[in-house]
Order: sequence, then C-alpha cells, then structure tokens
Amino acid sequence: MTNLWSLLQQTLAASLTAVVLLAVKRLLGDKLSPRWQLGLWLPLAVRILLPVGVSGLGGPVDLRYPLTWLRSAAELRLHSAFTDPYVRLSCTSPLPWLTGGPESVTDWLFVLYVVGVVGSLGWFALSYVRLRRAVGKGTAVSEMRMEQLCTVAERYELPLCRAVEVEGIQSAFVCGVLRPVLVLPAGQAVDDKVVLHELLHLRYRDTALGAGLCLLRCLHWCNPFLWYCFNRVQNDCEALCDQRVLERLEGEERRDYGHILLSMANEKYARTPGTSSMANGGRNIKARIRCIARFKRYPAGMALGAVCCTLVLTMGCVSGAAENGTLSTRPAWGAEPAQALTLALTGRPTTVAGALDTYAKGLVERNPLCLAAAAPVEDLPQALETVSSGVNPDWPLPEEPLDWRVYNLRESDGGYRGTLCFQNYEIAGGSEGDPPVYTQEVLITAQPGGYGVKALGEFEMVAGINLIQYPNVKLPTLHYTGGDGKIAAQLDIQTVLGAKTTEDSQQSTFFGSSGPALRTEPLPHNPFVTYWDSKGGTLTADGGKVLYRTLYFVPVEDTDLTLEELKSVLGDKSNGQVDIPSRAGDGGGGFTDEYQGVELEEYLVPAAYAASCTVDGVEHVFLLVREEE
Amino acid sequence: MEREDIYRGLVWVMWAQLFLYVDFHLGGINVLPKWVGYVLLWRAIHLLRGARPTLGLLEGLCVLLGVRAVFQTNLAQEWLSTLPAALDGVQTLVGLVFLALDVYFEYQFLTDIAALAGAAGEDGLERSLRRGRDALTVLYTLSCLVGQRTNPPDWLLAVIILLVVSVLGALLCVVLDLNRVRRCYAPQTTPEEP
Repeated sequence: MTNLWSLLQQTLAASLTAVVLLAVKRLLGDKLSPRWQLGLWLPLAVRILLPVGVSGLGGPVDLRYPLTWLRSAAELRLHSAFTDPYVRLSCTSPLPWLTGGPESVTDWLFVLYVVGVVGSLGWFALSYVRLRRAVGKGTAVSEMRMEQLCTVAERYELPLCRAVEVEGIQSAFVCGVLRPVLVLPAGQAVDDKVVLHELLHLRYRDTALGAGLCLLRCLHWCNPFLWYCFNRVQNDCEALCDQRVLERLEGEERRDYGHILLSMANEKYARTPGTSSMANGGRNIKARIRCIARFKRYPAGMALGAVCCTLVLTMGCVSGAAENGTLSTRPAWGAEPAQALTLALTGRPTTVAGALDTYAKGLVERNPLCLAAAAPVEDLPQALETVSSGVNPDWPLPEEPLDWRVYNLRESDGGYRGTLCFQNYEIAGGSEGDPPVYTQEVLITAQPGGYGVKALGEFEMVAGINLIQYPNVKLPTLHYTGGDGKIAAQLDIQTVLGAKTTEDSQQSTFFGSSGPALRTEPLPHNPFVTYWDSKGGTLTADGGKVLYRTLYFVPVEDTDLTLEELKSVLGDKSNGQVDIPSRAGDGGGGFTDEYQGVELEEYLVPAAYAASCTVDGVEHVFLLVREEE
Repeated sequence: MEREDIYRGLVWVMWAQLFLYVDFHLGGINVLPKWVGYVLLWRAIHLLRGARPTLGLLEGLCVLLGVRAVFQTNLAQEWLSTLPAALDGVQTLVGLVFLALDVYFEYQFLTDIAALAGAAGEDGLERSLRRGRDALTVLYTLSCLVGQRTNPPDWLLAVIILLVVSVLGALLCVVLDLNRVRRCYAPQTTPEEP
C-alpha cells in the first residue's frame, strides 16, 4: 500500500470479507463447534495478507469504481506525490510504505496512517515488554505448585514450560511465543482445570495467534470493524480452548469448569500481544458458557463439511472476476472530470484487440469516453478535457456503421504497430460498389492496467477495396529483403487481424433475416478472433534474371543469425512456402476462432525470416529482414 | 409411530430430490421448481428430527435456502435486474453466504440420514451414504473453486467436464442410497391371520 486509496481498497475488501464471514458464523453458530467456528476466519486472514490489486485477487465485489471516483474527485484538485490519478487503482502489497515526501492532504493522511501503524506496533511492543518485566520479577513456583503442574501435564500428556508466580494478577495466563512462561497468581490456589486450560494454550501455540492478530490490528488500526472481528477471533480461540478442555474432562468436572469460568466473569481483561488468558471479559465468558452448555449438542463428524465451507468462502472472498469494468455507450458529454476519469480508468482495455476496439468504437460511435479509456496515460488529461468540455471535436471519420481491421500488426517502438482500417460494414461486399477504406497508422503500448492506442498520423482514404476482412492489393504490405550474393529475394507479407465486432444474433426484419449487426459497445478485454494473411514476392538471380521458384521461410526474431543457424531453423521448424513471383494480397488464407481467440504472439509479423530456395539443384539459404518503415 | 414418521419423512426426502435436481420446463415454466424441493425437505426434517435431533438444526437453513431458490426463479431474476446496479455487490455477497450454507446443509443432512440407516442396522448402507456425502461435498467444492475462472484453458475445461460427470455420478449414488434407507423403514406388511 503506497497511498491512501490502496489502503482504502485493501481495508474495505477485508471488511466485506468479514461481513460475509460474520453472516455465515451467525447462521452456523449452533451447528459448528468452536473448532470450526475459529477455522471459518481463515478467509479473512487470507484476504488481509493478499493484496487486492493483484490480478485474479480482486474479491467478489469490485470496489474500484467507487474508490476511483472518490480518488479522482479528490486528487484531480490536489498535487499528490503518492498518487497518480490517471493510473488505475491498484494495491500490490498488503504492507504500507512511503515512496517519498508528502505533498497533498491525502498524502499527509496516508503518512498519518503509517505513523499509526508504527505507533500501534510500538504501543503493543511496550505493553509486552512491561508485562515480561513484571513476569521477570515473579518468583519460581513452590514445590507443591510445581507438583500440581507436573501432575496435570502428565495426566493429559501436555507439554510444560517455565512457571512463575506473580503478585497482583487475578488469573493464570501464558506469556510469550518463542519462550513461553506460565504465569500464576501468587498466594492463590489455582484449580487443575485452569492449569489444563493454560497448558492447552501452550500446546497449540495460541500465543502465536494472539501475536499475529496484534500485527493485523496494527496494520488496520484505523478500521474499528476489523478490530471487532479480531476480538471475535480471539474469543473463538478461547472457546476452542474450552472445547479442548471439555473433551478431556468427564461428568461433574465439566460442570465445575463452567462454574470456574463464571467466577471469572467480573475480572478485568486487557489484550496484550503474545499472551493468552482464560478470563476474557464478562460478556465473552457468558458466550463461552453457552457454548459449553451445547458441548454435546454440536453435530459430530463435521470436519470435511467445515473444511469445504471454508475453502469455498476463501475462494469466493479472495478471487474475483469482477475486475474488468465495461464502458458505458453513453458519451458522458460534459461529465465531471472525476466521473469521466473513473469511467475511463475502470473501462481501461486489457488486451491489444480490446484497445483497438475501444479506440475504434470511440471514433465510429463518436464516444470521447472510449477514446479516453484507450488513450495512453500521457494523453489522458487532454482526452478527459474533451469529455468534460462537452464540445464536439472534429471527428475524422464519417458517421457510418464502420467495421475495423488491423493490418500488419508487429512489435515496434516498445509496443505493437499496425495499420488500422475502417470500412462501411453494410455496403462492403455488396452490389453497391466498394465503399472507401479509411486507414491510420497506430501504436498500441502497454499502460498501467492495460493498453493504450496512439495515432501515428492522420487518416487516409483508399478506394477500390472489396472487403477489409481479407488481404488485398490496395493496402500496405511489409517487405522482407535479403539474399546470399547470388540470389536476391523479396518476400511480401500482408496480415489482417480482427476482433469480434458483430453481435451474436442475426437481425430479423419483415423481409427476412440479415447478417449480425455491428456492435456499438467495445469489448475491451477480448482477444483477436480472426486472422488472414497473404504472401508474395520476387526472386532474382545475379544479373537481374527473374526466377520462378518456391520460397520456403520460417519467422525468426534474431537478425544476427549465422548460415548454420539459419539452416538449423529451416530444418527444425515447419516451413511456410510461397510460389514466386506473386503479389501479396492476391488470395490468401486464414481462420476465425471466436471461442479460443487468436494467440497474438504467434501471429504477429516477425522481424525477419530464415528463407531458402533451390535454383539449379543448389539450395540457397539466407536471411530476409523487414525493411524499415 | 416414530418408525412411521421416519418412513414418511424419507418419502418426502425422495420427492424433494426430484425437485432439487431435475429441471423440467413446459412452455417456459419450470414445473419442478427448486423451492418446492426445499418445502418438502422442511417437511421431512420436521418428521425426522424426533429420531435425529441434529436435523432440527437444519430447519432454519432449509427455509433460507428455499427463499434463495424462490429468488432464483425467472420471475424473481427479472425483478432483481430492475434494482439499482449498486446493489449488485450486495447480491454477490449474499450469494457467497448461501454458497457456504449450501455446502454445509448438504453435508449435515446426508450425515443425519446416514445415521438413520445405521440406527436401522444397515451399517453398510450408512458407510456407503457417508462416502457418497464426502464425494459429493468434495466434488461440489472443487467445481465451485475451478468454476470461478473465465476463459479456462483446454486442460481445465477437461477437468471441469470430468467434475460435472463425477458430480452427476455421485449424486445418482446418493439418491439410490437414500431410496435404500427409505426402504429400510418401509412399513412391514403383517401376514393375514388364518
């Protein structure tokens, strides 16, 4: 946690988990024994210790929208050193730390929280040190008392630790995690059952649980609801110890144990880290006595059921698919900057195809919010200004139902570069002639929480293309050139990638049904689903003679391969082939897979190809490198 | 009298299985609504709790699960979809609570019915029912755990299909065992006097 908002995200997620667990515990209170009541707190521990911002661990309820709105409303007016309001809300660590000096009010609030954490830790540590000092002043137990302790320990096969008697304490307790000490009140007789209770705490290391809870209290000192839950955990721990005591006692001894507890109801109780005490306050003791009365009435043999319950709750409270927001189709014209930023950030596309779809829908549907969601971080302020201003910008595309595809997508400049093409979906491929295609060079780069699209130039219009879904000779191809001195080769490649841009169902009209309609909402988290490519090229011998051959090729990323390495690559992998001379865009092949999608890394245009061809019985192997744009 | 009550209760349990696990739609209406199954289970618990007091602990849960089943009907879902989107989070949290209650209810219920089989002297049947209970609980929990993933890889899809088939198999075994328990308590026909 590095700022106030990630703290809120983490602590609220933990609180929601606690709400679910308290509801389940309330409903199963008389059905699950104290053992399983304590076990049901496991999801809360997991939720607190796992950061909410890690992918897949968002929890069942997506808090990012309201928190992002709050953050935007506050931080857009402030100049925070800890928070960037244009970056998606994310908590990547359950522990707080400071990344610099505070500047804004929210920064100082976070610093206050960190000071609170350190202060709480200090206070608990001081309490523990004082207690240990007081225990240190105690005297070793008398022989008779030691005999009593040994008898109880032997009878119930429990470990024993160092024991001391201290003046002024009201009831026995165990103190310490690494070097535990059993502390007994000086000058007072201690019942065997009280000793048994404390030895059970020792046996099951309940002081470690107490110490762990103290650390969690410090981490969430500002959340009173979680403090209440931590108190409940400790009470459940005591109730479990009672159960363990009762399992070892018989008949009247169990009733006597209840009387002993009742007698402790008026004793004071202070939670000190690393200690366990039988007396934990009047109200809690009454609840424990009710549990004791029910001791035999809990259903037996519930271990597997309780474990499965806990697992289901843990999974439900920790994992979350509710991470990826959707963008509203309403343009949000004139929206408050905070609201616009919230909508843009929570709808940030998380895939390359999603980024292109969001950008394309922004242009086609004239939705500046989509453009903002797909904008790189550095362009976000200006994009949001456009949304908030309510003034219609100059839209570069005509107001038509335009479908899109991206051509020749390849890795470049730290991102992915390609040619984005738009064409009228309703007219294209029909009898009304070929509608014009609008093209623009774009660069898709990784942004915090997703991808952004940057335009690299203005739109250009290209005529004479039947359908942009398939390769064609009018749109750009990429050229790979190379040779071995005797042969000069050029390989031309054109690839077309597309996302799901149509609705699932067909349109029905009075005159019959037509194809599926174009989607108006972007799919910011979807992959590419269609891939088509076409290849062509030329081969010339020394002297300029054009050769008619089959060229074999394999994509490679390294442009520094030796001849042996090229031969090895061509021998090991399945080769593509093309009969040349031929023109890229004349024909081609491809597929559509709406279920699994297209694996992007497999279908990006590579930096180079290892290629070979045979001329007059001689095999020529060479590297073809992509020409610079 | 108690044996007769137990038998009638077990008959209700069998009828409840039909409503809980079979969906049959006629003209868009489910003629075997799940909430009826919980009503029948509630009746059964009422009759059986004399013989198994711990079954009485499940009455409240049975009512809650029945109410949830009502809210899962198409009509209720349509009404829920009209509620403000801000309440979606509440629905999710409530759903999570019910998921845990479901797991517990099934487990405890089958444990108690198995105990009834044991009380009738059918130790083998009791063991079989407990095994079926364990298998059903574990498989159901696993399916909840793996079902959370969106766009699962191929191998996980195969696991999910295997889980679904296994759950159906375990369910069938449990229902058959429940029927056997019912038959254990069937009224014995007395021979006619000459």
